[in-house]
Parts: sequence; structure tokens; C-alpha cells
Amino acid sequence: MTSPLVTYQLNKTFGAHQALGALTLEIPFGRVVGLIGRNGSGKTTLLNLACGLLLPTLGTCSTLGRPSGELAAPELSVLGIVAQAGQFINWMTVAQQLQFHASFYKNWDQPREQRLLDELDLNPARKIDELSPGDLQKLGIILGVCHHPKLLLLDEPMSALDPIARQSLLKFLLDLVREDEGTIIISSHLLSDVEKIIDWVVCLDRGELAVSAPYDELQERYAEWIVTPASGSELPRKFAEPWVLAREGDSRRARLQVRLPSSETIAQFSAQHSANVIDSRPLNLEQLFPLLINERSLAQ
Amino acid sequence: MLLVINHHCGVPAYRQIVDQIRLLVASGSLKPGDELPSTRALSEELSLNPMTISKAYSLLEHDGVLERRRGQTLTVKARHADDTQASKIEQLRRSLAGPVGIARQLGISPTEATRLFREMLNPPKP
Amino acid sequence: MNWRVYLTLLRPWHSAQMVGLLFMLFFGLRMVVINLLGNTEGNALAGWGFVMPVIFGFVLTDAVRAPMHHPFGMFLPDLRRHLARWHLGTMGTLTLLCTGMIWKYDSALPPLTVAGIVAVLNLILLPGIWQVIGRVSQLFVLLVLGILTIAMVFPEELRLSILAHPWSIGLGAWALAWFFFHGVFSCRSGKRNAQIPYLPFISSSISTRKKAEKSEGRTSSKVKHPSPWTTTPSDGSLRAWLDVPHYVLTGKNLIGSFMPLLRLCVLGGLSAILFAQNDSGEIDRVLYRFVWFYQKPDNLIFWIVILNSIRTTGFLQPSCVYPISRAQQAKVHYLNFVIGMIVKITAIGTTFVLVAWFVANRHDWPRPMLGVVNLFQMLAWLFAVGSLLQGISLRYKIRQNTNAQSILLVLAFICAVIFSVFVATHLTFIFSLTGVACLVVLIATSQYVYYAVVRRYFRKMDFIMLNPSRSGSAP
Repeated sequence: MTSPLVTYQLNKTFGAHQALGALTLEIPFGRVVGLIGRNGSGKTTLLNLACGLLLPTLGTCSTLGRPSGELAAPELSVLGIVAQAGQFINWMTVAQQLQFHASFYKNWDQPREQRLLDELDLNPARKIDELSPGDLQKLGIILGVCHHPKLLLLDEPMSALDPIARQSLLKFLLDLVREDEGTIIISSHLLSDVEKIIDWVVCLDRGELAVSAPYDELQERYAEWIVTPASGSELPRKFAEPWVLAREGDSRRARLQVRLPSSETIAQFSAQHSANVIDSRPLNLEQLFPLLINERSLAQ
Repeated sequence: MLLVINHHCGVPAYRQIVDQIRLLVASGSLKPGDELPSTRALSEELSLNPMTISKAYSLLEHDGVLERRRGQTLTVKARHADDTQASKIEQLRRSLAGPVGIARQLGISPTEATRLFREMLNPPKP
Repeated sequence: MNWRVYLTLLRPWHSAQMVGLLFMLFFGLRMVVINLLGNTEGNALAGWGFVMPVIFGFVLTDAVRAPMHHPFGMFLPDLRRHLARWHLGTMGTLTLLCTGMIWKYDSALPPLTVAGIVAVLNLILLPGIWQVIGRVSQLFVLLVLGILTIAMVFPEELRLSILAHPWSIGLGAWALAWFFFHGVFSCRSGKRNAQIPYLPFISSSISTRKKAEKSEGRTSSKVKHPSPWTTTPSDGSLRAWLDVPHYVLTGKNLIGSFMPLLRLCVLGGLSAILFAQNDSGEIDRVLYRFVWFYQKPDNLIFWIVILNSIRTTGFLQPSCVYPISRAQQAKVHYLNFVIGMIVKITAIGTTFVLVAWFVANRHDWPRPMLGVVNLFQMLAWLFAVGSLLQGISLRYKIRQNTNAQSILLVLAFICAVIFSVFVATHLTFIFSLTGVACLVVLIATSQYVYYAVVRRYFRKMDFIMLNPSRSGSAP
């Protein structure tokens, strides 16, 4: 299966500001990708480049097998976009706007549209300029998914939704993966919500790629250790090993966040610092996020 | 199937599935020959990506816990008694990692801990 | 895209209202011209060949503007192709209709040429739909108004010239029509225009700031407060008198920039037609005193600045500044509006007088027109109609964008001209006391109505809008 989004040395510069620099990335097919990164890291720029709104300054970006600047009707009819600030025709009602979009897609799924309207609790008779931001977001979602997209790009789709609506959306996205057999790229700051559905993580930091890996792998790569000194000694203030990423605590008990090394290295570690690793726990996405960012800046 | 997935504990979802299915098989809740739900059905039930489920299933198949029979359906594989015993021990070992860590943190001596373990396994008769 | 969706886009009820309004406006203008210039014959060419295509074109353009304007227009597959097809279809039908009507009344005109002209006028507003380039759309609107004025004022000459050069005019018209159509509906233009910041994904803080800077630069072509005239002091020439106030009001030089010159020409032309007189005795007297008092435009500016500061300070009183009651807010809003109107009207009146005097002194204008007294009448109408229109826009919550105010003023101006000329040529009592009393009543009524609307508005409106970014600022 062709990868839905491939970039090669992708660079995007706005005047003096470089938003993306030499980004080389390949999104695997059929995954739910979580696009994470700090504000200003280039996530939105990447999504805008992927759908052809921006053209690369250098490098290439291909969406669904075609250069993103040349997306035409065949690709567009299987591309779904859910933007954070949806732009709608304000004088229309929800139903009219849905009808408008539906008329452009051959495979618009009317039952799915109805199901979403019910699940997300959106009244189709309301005028768009009377909707709250949460309702606007819901409308944006419905407009983006009803034509069975093979690639769905979502930028902060849940920021304005209440918890119940969020759960509905997450559940729906998973249904989508099953039914449409497509790829989803979701950019969100709500890591605790997003980690329920993603299975691939792309992390950007200041316009460059920090990590692109399966989520499982990341979960198994890092751990949190509780370390106590062997009797009679104290723990060093700082552990010099490069795979020790963060340290908390005092000289008698420390909590470390580590990138898991081989067992010999662990043994060496215990011996060298006269410390015992008494507990090792995995980290969730919220805890992993700062590690992924920091690791990259340390590596430079 | 009674599987519970915790998304926030940091353990990958596929691993949780693998461990829990192993436990069910070892404890006898899943007998040899029992059919497991399809990838789709299970992913729907657990609200997970189907790829996660299939990863778990293929791992279990690789380890010989499950086998594919009659085309697409996955069933529990009948295993040798020794294998079963070994895998049971492995299960227990894995779940003891937590309590062992706590014991160490609290500074409880191995003797003390073993006594406690024995006591809890065989509660004194009232 | 099917017919139902296109019908929704056309907004039948809304469009019918627009067509009706525009039609009445042009009809009224036509009456004025007939009265003024004495030619009683309209002709089918002017009506069906010029005015109706523009009106229809306006409605059709509006329908197409909405989807093309929005970034999702980039993503819906084949949006442009579908829109182009439908637009072509309706446009073609209307072209046939208009040409048919002309053929019915005036079969001497070559139908192909006429059809070409109709087609061009139908499409003439289309290139201006990219409102992100605000100047372009203003330009096209002015162009259209100019063409229509010519058509209405000189219909016979127009007809004759079409009969004289049917092929060149026809070919030119069709070429232009194709050029407009293709330019707007082709994909490349769409991409080019959509890249101007209408990004659907909310940008990061950096690009948002850039976006704000860009749009700010575009819309704030008007400087809100008069800036001091800091360069070399001016002399008392006419050029200085025109240049300095213009600079102060708009921040741009009059001579040397295109748009203001155009505006000036329009104003100048209108004032010459309406108010210039052969024996400009009264204007001379007024002007002489005016110019003698101020000597140079700098002094005038000085006074304007002072008066403005007084006004601003006046509005800084505690009774006008938050937190105040809703009734009080209504009063302040109304006062602000009235003062603003008076200032605008004074400015317009002054410009008219100046230009009329300039023209009258330089040309032998054969036909006496209306005179300075009617200027005051026109200004009174402008005040009244302007207030009413503002009240209507407030009452029906017409979304305010940066162009709305100027559009309203222009509309009020057109109405004022029509009414005042009609009244002046038909009602002779206008110069008597009764006439003045009528004017006073007119102004009083309009102000009462407007004030009532403002009060009602402030009493009932919600202060917090759900989507402030969407509907523009509160008035």
C-alpha cells in the first residue's frame, strides 16, 4: 500500500522564520498517527503542506501518492480534513452545508452523516453563525469524514468538545479505522485522550522530526525507575549515563526516567553507583512527551 | 471476553492483551479449542485499533498459545502439561514484579516477605 | 453538485430582495437623468443591455463567491469545475434572455454583439470577488458605475456606436468575457488567491501574528485620526486646498495615487453636473470669505485637529465611558453617530462647493443647473437617508465589515442625489418657508427613528457574541 504521506527534506520558511527544516518522514498506511509537539513546532504547517494549501520552500511532500501541490479530484475525494477553525458559509444552516459538501463526493455516506448528527448531538436545522465553538467543531468533523476518506487529517479536533462528545469522537474514529481501512493523522494536545487510539507517534520539535515510531515501541523503550542506594552510600546528584533522561528526588531515593538499556548495562549501572533499581514502571504518553523532545535536543 | 485495558498506565495495549489472554489460558478460563473473537470484534469491544489486536494475536500465535485453525479463526492451542506449568510460573513471576518492587522500597527483608506470601496463600483457619 | 445545492447558493429570497433594491435604485437614477437632460426616450439597450446584466451578474457572483472564497474550496473535488458549469449555465440563460428582450424592442442591433456586451457585464463583477485584494473589487465597482452612467446618460450615442462598429465591439466584448470567466474559474488563480492567509488549520502563534499584520495592513487604508501635517507648509493654491485635507483624512497624497484621483473625478463630475453655475456670484462670495479667513489649508487643518481633540475629550467624560447603563450607551452611540455624520456631510459639502467653483470659473457651462441652495437640500437628504440606512443595518444586524460603512454612505449619497434633484425640479415651494420646514421635519423624523432603533438595540442586544471573530465587531 502506498504511504499516504511522504516528505523528503521538506522545508518551509515564512520570510525569516523557518517553520519546518529538512523534514523526512513517511507515514505508514492504515495507522492512527498522533502528531504531537509543542506550540510552534510545525504541526499545523505540516498538515497545511500535506493538503496542498502551502507549497514547500524546499524538498517534497507527497500526499496519497501525488505531490501535495497537485492534488486533484481523485485524491481529494478520498482526503478528509477536519480543521480547528472550520470555515463555513455562515448564512447556511447545518443541513444546507452538509448537503453542499455531499454534492461533491460520489461516495458520501448519508447514514453515517445521520449517525454522527445523532451521536454528537447536533441539530441540523440551526444556522451556522449561531453555533457555539463546540458545535462548529462537531460540524467540521462530520464534513470531514462522511465520504470515507483514505487519509484523514485532524488538527485539534477535540479542543472545544465536552468530555462526553470527546469519547463519542474517539470511539467513532476507531470505527472509522475499521470500516474505511484508511490512515488517520490526529494532532492534539490532549495526550491522555489521544493515546487511547493512536498506534504511531510522530513528534516534531522546532520544525524538525524528533521521533517517528510505533507507539508500542516507545512505550517499551522508556521506563521510570525507583532507585535507592545500597546500604551505607548515597546516590550521586547527577547520573552521567546518557540514557538517564531525568532525575527527581534526593540522595536516598531517586526517581529516574530512562531509555531502557541492555541488562548488562543495568548491572554495570548498579555496580558503578552502588544503587539498586527497586522498581521499574512504564510511562504513558503524557510522561513520554517531554522525554522525546528533550532527547532530541540532547542529541544535537 | 473479559479483558480490561488501561490506557494510562504506560504498558502497551497489545502487551496487556497478551498477558491477560495468557492468564485466562493458564487459569483454565480459556480451554484448548475455545475460539477467540475476531480481530474486528475484539477491537470493537475494547475500543482499540485493530492493528493492536492483530499484533497481540500474532505474538500469542508465535508463542504457541494460540493457533489458527479452519482458515481464519483463532483457537486456544492444547499444550503439553509441562509447557502449561512453565507458562503459569512465568505469569506469576511477571505479576510478582510489582509486589517485589514495593517490598524493596519498604525495605522488607526477603524472609519477612516470603512469610507474608505464605500466610496470604494459606490463610489461617478461623 | 446538483441543482438543489446551486439553488441554495443562489439564496432566492435574499437575491430577489437585492435585485429589487438595485432595480429601484437604477430606475430612480434613470428618472433623474431623464429629468435633468430632457431626453425622454429610454432605450432597450441601456436597460436590458447594461443595467439588467449588471444586476443579474451581481446576484450570480454573490452565489459563487461564498464557496470560492473559503479554503474548503481547495479541497472539495472539482468544486471549480462544477461552479463554473452552473455559473455558465445560468449566465448563458440570462444572456439569452436579455438579448431576446433587446431583439424584441430594437431589432436593428446585431444580436451577437449585444450578447457579447451582456456577457461581459454579467461577468464584470466576478474578478472583483477576491475581496482579499480590496482595491480590486472597489475598482471594478467604480468601473461598473461609470459604464452604467454612460449608458444611462447617453443611450442614443451608445446605440449608434454599437451600430457603427459591431464586429470590433462584439469581439472585444466576447474576448473580455472569456478572459474574466477563465481568470476566475481556473485552478491556478484559485491556488494563488487561497494562499493569502485563509489557512483552515489555526496557525501557530507566529503565523497568526503575520496573518493579523497582513490583514491589518490591507483594511486600515483609512487613518482613523487626522495626522498632523508635518511637511513643508503649503500655499493657498487650489491644489493645496485639495491635497492637504485629503492627506489628513486618508493619509495618502491626492495627486499621484490612483484611487483617490478616481474618486475625486467622480465627485467632481457629479458636482459639476449638479451645482456649477455660470454666474457663480454666490459661490464666489462664500468662497472668497472662506479662503481669506484661512489663507492656507494648514490653518484649516489646525482647526480640524483642535475640534477633533475637543470632541474626543468630550467623549472621555465619565458619563460616556464604561461602565455605564445601556440607556446611556445608546445616547453616547447616537451622539457619536450624529457628530460623525455632520463631519462627513460638512466635508462632502465643502468638497462640492470647492470643485463646483473651480469648474464654474474655468468653463462656460451652458446649462444652469441647480445651484448652491440645492446643495444644502442634498446634504439634508444625505443626513436623513444616511441615518435611516444606518438604522436599518443596525436593526437587521447586517454584518459589518470594513467596507460596509462606505457602501452605506455611497448608497445614502445616491438616494440623496435622486431625491433632492427630483424634489428641486418638481416642487417649487422648496425655496419657501414651507420647504425649509419640510426639510426640518424630514431630518427630525429620521433622527427620531434612528435614535429609537439605537435605544432598542442597546436594550436588547447581547454584549457577548458567541463567535466574535465570525460576525465582525459590534457596531
